[in-house]
Amino acid sequence: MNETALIQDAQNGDIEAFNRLVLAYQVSLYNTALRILGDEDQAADATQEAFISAFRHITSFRGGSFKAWLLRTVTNACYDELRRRQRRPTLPLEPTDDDDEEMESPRWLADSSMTPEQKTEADELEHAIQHCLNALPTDFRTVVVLADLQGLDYAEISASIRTPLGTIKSRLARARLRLRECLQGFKELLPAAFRLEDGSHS
Amino acid sequence: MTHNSFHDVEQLSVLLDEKLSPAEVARLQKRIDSDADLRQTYTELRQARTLLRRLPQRRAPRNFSLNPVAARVRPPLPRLFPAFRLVSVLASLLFFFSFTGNLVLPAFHPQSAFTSMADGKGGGFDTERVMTAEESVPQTMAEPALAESVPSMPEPTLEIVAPAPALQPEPALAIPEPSPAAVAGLPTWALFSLAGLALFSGMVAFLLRRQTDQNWKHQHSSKKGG
Repeated sequence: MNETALIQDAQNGDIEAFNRLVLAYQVSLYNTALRILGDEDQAADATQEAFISAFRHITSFRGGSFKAWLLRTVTNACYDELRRRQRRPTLPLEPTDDDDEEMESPRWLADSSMTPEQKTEADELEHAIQHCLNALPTDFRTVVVLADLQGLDYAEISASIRTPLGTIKSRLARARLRLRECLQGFKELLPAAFRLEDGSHS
Repeated sequence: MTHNSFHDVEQLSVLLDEKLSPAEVARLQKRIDSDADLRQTYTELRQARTLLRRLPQRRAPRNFSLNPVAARVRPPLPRLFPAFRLVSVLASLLFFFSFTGNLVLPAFHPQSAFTSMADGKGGGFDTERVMTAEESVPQTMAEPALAESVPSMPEPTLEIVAPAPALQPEPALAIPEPSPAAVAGLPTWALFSLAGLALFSGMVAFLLRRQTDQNWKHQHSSKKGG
């Protein structure tokens, strides 16, 4: 895939070229939205909105990392969704069973290629991490998702969310610190390989 | 739980991302080796980051590919469209302000209203009726009042009186009165022309846009079919 050529075609209005870029990046954008919003349906809506917005404004893309540029659109879509959520009654972020009780270990995260034990471990891990991500302030969550889940470097994050580099470093450090503290509370839930070392001996 | 300054934590976080200079890395590494608290914090931050990085990527629940309707894509504007649209908007604005001005201006210029009334253009009070009313005041009622108000004239004397200066014409007022034509605004034919121009330009712009839309849709559907 020649990304530059596809971008140029998309800038000339070729929607098919843009759709090839969509196929290449939709998993990244959807996962970013999912981790920022913590809700599947809203993440899907935000991803769709982000791609529509990206296509309509693709002429404003002036080079650099196209992934970072796309992630900026999805981040903006997530912020819009979060603002809408503040104006509406909140919905539970956890899946519920038939009795409207929150599921302790949701099977909705499972991958069919795993053994039952692996599924359980993955469920527990993902559930705990998403819980801790949801507990972060939005700005911290966005930075840590872009850095540690999407692998963007500081400059790309800075360009994506239009925030100074120093602020990115600071937010990332605070986010990791809070995640570390939050994940300490899930020691029993986490598989042994993922357990954080007990800091009580220091 | 360890107790490090936030600056230390920030430095450790940057160290994890390998964004420190070699000199900073060497200095911080030395401190990590000697400070158990710092080492503990570094380890925990690294483990938290590892956990995040091991979070599985979820499959997209659907294909997010766009179609022209969802993307609200419209064909490029015809080249002449902006010109006709601009002309239509300007003509509409001119028509609106001229029409409003023609309605409102006479109310702010009683003089011109008076002139136009004298020309038989209507509006305001009827001067002829007022004059007629003044003239029709009974003579018998007016004369006694005049006699009472005029004091008795003094007897003529032989004193030489200096001649009274000749009457000078009063200077004209500095503020010129607006001419009736200026106040009246655009003539009717010009207003109709503006309205016609606005309608014509708007119609042409609309038809141009519609024709381009239809051509574009036709091209798009034949491209898909082919």
